Amino acid sequence: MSNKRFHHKPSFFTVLVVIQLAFVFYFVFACIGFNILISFTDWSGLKPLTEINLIGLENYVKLIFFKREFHISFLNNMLIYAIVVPASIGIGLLLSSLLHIAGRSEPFFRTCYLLPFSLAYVVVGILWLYVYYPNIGILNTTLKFLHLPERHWLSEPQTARFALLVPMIWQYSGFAALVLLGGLRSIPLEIMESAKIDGASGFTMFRYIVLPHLRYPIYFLYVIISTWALMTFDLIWIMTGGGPGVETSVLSILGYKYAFGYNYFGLGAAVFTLLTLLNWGLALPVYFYLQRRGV
Amino acid sequence: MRSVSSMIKIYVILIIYFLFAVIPLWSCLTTSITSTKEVGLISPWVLPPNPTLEPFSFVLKELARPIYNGLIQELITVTLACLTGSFLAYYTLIRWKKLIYLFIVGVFTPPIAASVPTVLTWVKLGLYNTNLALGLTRYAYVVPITVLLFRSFYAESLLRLIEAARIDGADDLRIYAQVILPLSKIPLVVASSFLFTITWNCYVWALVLGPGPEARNAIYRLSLFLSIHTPEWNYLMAGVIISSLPVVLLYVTLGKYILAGYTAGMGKAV
Repeated sequence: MSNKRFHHKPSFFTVLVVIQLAFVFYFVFACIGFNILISFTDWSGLKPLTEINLIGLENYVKLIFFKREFHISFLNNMLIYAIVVPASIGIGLLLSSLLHIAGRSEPFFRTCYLLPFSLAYVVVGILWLYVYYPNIGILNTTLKFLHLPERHWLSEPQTARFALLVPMIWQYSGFAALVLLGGLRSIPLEIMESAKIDGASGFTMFRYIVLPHLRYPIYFLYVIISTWALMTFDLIWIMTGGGPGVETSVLSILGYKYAFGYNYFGLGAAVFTLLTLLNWGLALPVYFYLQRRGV
Repeated sequence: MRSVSSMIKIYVILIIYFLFAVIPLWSCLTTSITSTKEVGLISPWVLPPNPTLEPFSFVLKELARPIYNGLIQELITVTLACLTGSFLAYYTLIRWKKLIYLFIVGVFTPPIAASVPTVLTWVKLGLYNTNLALGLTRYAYVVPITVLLFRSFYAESLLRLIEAARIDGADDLRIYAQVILPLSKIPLVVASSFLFTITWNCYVWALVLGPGPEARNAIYRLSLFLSIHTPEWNYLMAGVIISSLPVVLLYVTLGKYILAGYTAGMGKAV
């Protein structure tokens, strides 16, 4: 049978499959592959391609042991991951259970909660830059009105780091709420009714009926929001550009700055490779678990 | 029936979050209709006493070309991605099931990690900073999620239909065109609205591939308003409203489908 296939002229169908696969494969996977290759070289912008040397893992060693900006960027990524993911899912849980019983006003709140999510990161960055802006921003004018001290929220490392988390939570919680609302809607009413007749309290019902039902939507939200948290670029790029100094930098911004700002292509590629591995490591296992369970 | 006091508690929390969600948008609205002289003098909480549409007319002129670029890029990305997405999802259904794992890994690959080789490729081809390059690049990077999206709509039960069509003598391509595509109306709406929004909001590729006026999109042009030393907030906010309008309208009308795009793309695929 395989012989027959080999001698056949490839059908138009096969040709179409191959063309599309090749195109996607080139950009998504071959380019990642090239990026990994670049990360093993000392390529920087001024060198002609013929003078590039393979230097093994030197870029990685440099990053992991000597570059302070890499440590800060990595820790910022982890901070975002550790706070934004649980906060968005937690707020989403609260809002969705309230929306579920809110009655007729629910469509209004639902639409408003989804508005922040529909906006581009750049737009969210601009909106929140304005909120935090010294003297004229809505936060500082309010603080002044209440006779509280104003601050330069995005210019001080300690406040800037946390100020950047708020817009992310602002954007993702509404999305989380709506995804979870879909899950809540699918809980059969009889289960809730019979639990109520048996005298279960609100908390008991939440803990033993609602949460187990929402398990898969919550895993899904973990996967998607943690991916966003690790890949975050635009928002921070617009709001602080990674500054002051490198204090609010994240891996994607660091890699971008190395590669496109200073033309250290080798070093930038190493950052990007680590970012890719991190993203795969944190999201893929949960995703495959979700798939096996058959959501 | 729930007691009045518990209903009040529910509404208090819902309204607090509502305020949190809309206050930045409200300050954007009030600032966008403030004249340049009055920005910074009037609190962003209140509507300006002398509202003006001047910021909108100024920004609209600046954004006209980027919006046009964006629509051309949308046309390339959304059309091709919908076709390839449904086609390859069909292919993974009838032939090579394991191929779907490749797309799953693709979904979780950060596009920025491939930015340097991608830029080099388009420079080599002489297409750097063109609408075509941006449309095709975004197309390549959204195909994995689009395949997963279509695949989650193509249940195994479709196989019986395909088998029947085969017995009637149709080949694979004909089955795709005459059986699969006509059955894909809902996933096509989901995919195209979902892809429109993520393509419209895309910044990274505009930054590395299309920074010039020939190919920059509205979102990228908007970010340039920030690069001057003291941003003119009324122009920026008018720009925010104009460049977000298409996506916000799409969310208000087709929000359910766009959300389905996020959840279906991540749903059952293997």
